[in-house]
Amino acid sequence: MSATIMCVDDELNLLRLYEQVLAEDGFRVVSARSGAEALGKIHAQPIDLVVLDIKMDNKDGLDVLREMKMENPDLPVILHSAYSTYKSDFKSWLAVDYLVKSADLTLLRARIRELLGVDD
Amino acid sequence: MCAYHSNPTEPSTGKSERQTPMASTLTQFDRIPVAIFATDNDGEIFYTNDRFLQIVDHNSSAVDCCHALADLENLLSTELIRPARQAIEHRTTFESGQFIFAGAGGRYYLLSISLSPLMLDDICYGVFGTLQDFTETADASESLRRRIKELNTIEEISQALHSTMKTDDILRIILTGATCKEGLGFNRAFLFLLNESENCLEGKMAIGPSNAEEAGRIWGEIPPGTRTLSEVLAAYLQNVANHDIEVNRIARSLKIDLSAPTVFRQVMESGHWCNIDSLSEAVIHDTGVLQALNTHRFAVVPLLSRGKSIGVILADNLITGKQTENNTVHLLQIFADHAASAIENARLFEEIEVKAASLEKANLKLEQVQKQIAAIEKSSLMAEITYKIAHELRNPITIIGGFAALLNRNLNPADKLSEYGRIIVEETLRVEKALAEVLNFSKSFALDRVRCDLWEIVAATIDVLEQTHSPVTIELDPDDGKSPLYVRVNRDQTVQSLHDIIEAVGSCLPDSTPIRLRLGNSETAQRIELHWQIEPEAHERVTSLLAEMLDTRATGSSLRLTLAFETVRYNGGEPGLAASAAQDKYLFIEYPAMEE
Repeated sequence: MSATIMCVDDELNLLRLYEQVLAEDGFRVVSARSGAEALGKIHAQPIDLVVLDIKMDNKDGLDVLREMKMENPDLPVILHSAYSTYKSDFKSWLAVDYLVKSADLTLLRARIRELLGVDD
Repeated sequence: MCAYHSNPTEPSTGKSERQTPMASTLTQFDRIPVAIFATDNDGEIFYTNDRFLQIVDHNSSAVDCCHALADLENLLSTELIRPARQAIEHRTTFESGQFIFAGAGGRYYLLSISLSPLMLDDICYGVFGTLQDFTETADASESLRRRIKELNTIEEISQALHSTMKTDDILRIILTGATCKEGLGFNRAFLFLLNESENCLEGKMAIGPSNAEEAGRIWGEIPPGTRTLSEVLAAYLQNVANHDIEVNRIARSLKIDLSAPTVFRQVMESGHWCNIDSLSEAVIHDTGVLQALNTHRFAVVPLLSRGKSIGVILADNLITGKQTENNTVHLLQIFADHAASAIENARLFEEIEVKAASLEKANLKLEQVQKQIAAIEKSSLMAEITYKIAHELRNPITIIGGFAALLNRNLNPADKLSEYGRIIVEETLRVEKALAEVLNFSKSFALDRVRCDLWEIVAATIDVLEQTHSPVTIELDPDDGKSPLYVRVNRDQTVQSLHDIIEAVGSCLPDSTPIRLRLGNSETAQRIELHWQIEPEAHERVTSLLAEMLDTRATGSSLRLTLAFETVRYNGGEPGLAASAAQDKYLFIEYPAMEE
């Protein structure tokens, strides 16, 4: 059974990109457009990995990260942000990785496969 | 009419025999302040009042001093007989001009005499004479004239003092006013000012000759025709002030200790002038200074400013030996009061000038800092805006590039659309790279410049290169002693820019060519040099590659070097290319040295 990845971002088109690209890689993708929606959906079904944006309306991605990790400490979360500055924020250290958004998603895809133990 | 002369052979008769009917009438004038006398028609004086006797300096009546008009004529050395005859004959009044009468005891009088016919009921009984004493009026006039001259002198000195704010000119004006004949006329004047820290008076200036010959030389240089004190002052300042006269040299060498009980200490403490007029007095007050000045008759006046003594003026008449009158010393004190005020004002002015210059400097610096702050604020705002925009652009670029790549994967490579997709992906990546470089440049833009050691910056840069697994090999020239090279820069920006420059240079060099970093300094600048060892023919290629990098129309990597160079300049530095002695090209980055 393929792993389920939750993508959390307030950019709709970006979510659609993730859905397309990660689906091509054989993953099941669950999208959430806000931190609140993500926290709601995470209880509803098993999630294997989260790709989480930081700067979102309402709930900050770092706060969502903390709550997710409190619920499930073993859940791998990749912070995927347009900003590099939050790397120095210790709250981001809860994530397994911090990647800066790029048009080239190769690095993101490689890291997801690595964390989920999926061959190339 | 009998002779108006008294006959010495004739025995003097008593007053009662000569008394005329007028005598009793005239007694009303006995005590009046005007000298009165009366003669009969024969010229015999039969009446005198007390004032008359006082002037002629005799206690008894006229019969004992002046029996006849002729006697009075002899006494006063003024023609009286002929005028008296004319007065009697023609019934006219005679008035003499003013004349000087030397009374007994050496007292001089300025007198005038008038003779009128002594009439009663149209009968002439003789001559009525008045002796008017102008002595006091003349004295008062002379005193007034002198006072007016003094006031004029003070006025001229005051005006001259107000014409300058230079302490030396003020001192010269005062001393010239004290010594020139149009001023107070002292032979010499010395000025001493208080040195509070050493509790002594220091000689500052003196004017006057050492001897008569020098006196002639000094005052002879004043052009003829200069009459007013102002003209003399101006002429002196122009002609004589530059001559280093002997008394000036003596004055400047003198120091008067105020802990010793001398006339100088007395004058300073009391605030009152002193006129020393005898050797014995001078000896008591001598401190050795008087020996140096070779004087024992002198006046000392304090320079008083705001109730405090700031110095003294010593004046004497060594050359002429003329005695100094207290009145003249009093006038010298008035000079000194003006001088003290002017000296204090000049000192204040000089202090203000120094402060004004210092403020001007501070003002210029403030202007520079304000410009820098304005530039930083502007840059900071721009950086803030750039930062926000760059991040906001990242999302759409990720989406565009991502979908373009997705599209490309689903297209037939031979399809033209596939080529379009590839172009979109490539250009998107290029935009992304440029954004990353801009973000690196702008993120630390608003930070402060602090004192940094270039050695530490180089070390930090090498660390970053190692951590980022840069392919560039760095060799650092060792420095003997490693003395700090301080500059005032933004540390992060400088590390970043050095890192980017090293990377850019490394990318132009053949693989594995090490870059040797050398640090050095001149008097005003600290310097980092990047040297590389390659074949001579490769130098031009490397140089042109670097030049290309600075061309903003080139590939995405050019932005990095341009931004790095701009960062260096923003931090006050200057990058450039130079050639070594062996004609090898190298790149340098120079920053202004920071004072320790």
